[in-house]
Amino acid sequence: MTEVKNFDELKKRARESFLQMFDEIVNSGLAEGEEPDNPTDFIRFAWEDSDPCLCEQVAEIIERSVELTLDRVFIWAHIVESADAERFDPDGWYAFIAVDPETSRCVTLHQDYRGKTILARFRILSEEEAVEAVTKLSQLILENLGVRFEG
Amino acid sequence: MEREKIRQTLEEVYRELAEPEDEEDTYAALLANWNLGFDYPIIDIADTITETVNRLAGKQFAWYWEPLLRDEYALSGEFAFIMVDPETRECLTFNRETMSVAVVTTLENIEQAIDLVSHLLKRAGVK
Repeated sequence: MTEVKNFDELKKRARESFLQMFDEIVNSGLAEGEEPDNPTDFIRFAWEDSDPCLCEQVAEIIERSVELTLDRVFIWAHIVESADAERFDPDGWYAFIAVDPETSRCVTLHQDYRGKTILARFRILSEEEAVEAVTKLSQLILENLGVRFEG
Repeated sequence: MEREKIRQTLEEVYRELAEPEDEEDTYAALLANWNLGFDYPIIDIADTITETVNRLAGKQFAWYWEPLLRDEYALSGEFAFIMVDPETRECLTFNRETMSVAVVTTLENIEQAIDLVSHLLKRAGVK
């Protein structure tokens, strides 16, 4: 796993990873002459169109970006949250669970207002919010792995 | 852990969580009616399992669960459970062979519920 000195460096790396993974997962499949997707438009379209495949892609981009940021592979579960229990109506919230396969440890475990939870939840409706999610998820995982860095 | 003890605890926990008015409204009866569609009280089903495991293990685990769908409009009768020991951070439902973090199982009758609780208790090291 690569070392991270401080939060700013982590955020910079998270942004680069997100843009790289977005290109690899979304833009690599474009036909010749097609305009590359803009991340914010793509994320918003997945939400507004209630498209489960695109929402799954958003979640996958976040997961791969965290792995690229930390240069480490995890086993993931994610939830594309829905405003309606009976039909898929995404509300923009995504939740992630990550397990370190080497140690079997859940690296998204943290304390929230209800107690200990394994779900790390983020509202992701723009490129900025996606980068924020990658940064905070990476930070949470580092903390669970016992890695400390400045600010 | 004896199956009878698990069965009793499941019923006790269900009574406390769901507070059914009718004596005949047992956890076993609820599971037997799993194909009620979205009127099926999936929260009661799953929370009874997780609280029974917590109680019999004498420990509060961190959980995530969800029902699996057969299609957009129907439950499959299966549930996925993820269980983590908050002290050690160990994901007790992680399977190294399949690289899966969840235990997925069918919950359509009380015997399957007892099997699941027994399996989760073993993962937690409870004999």
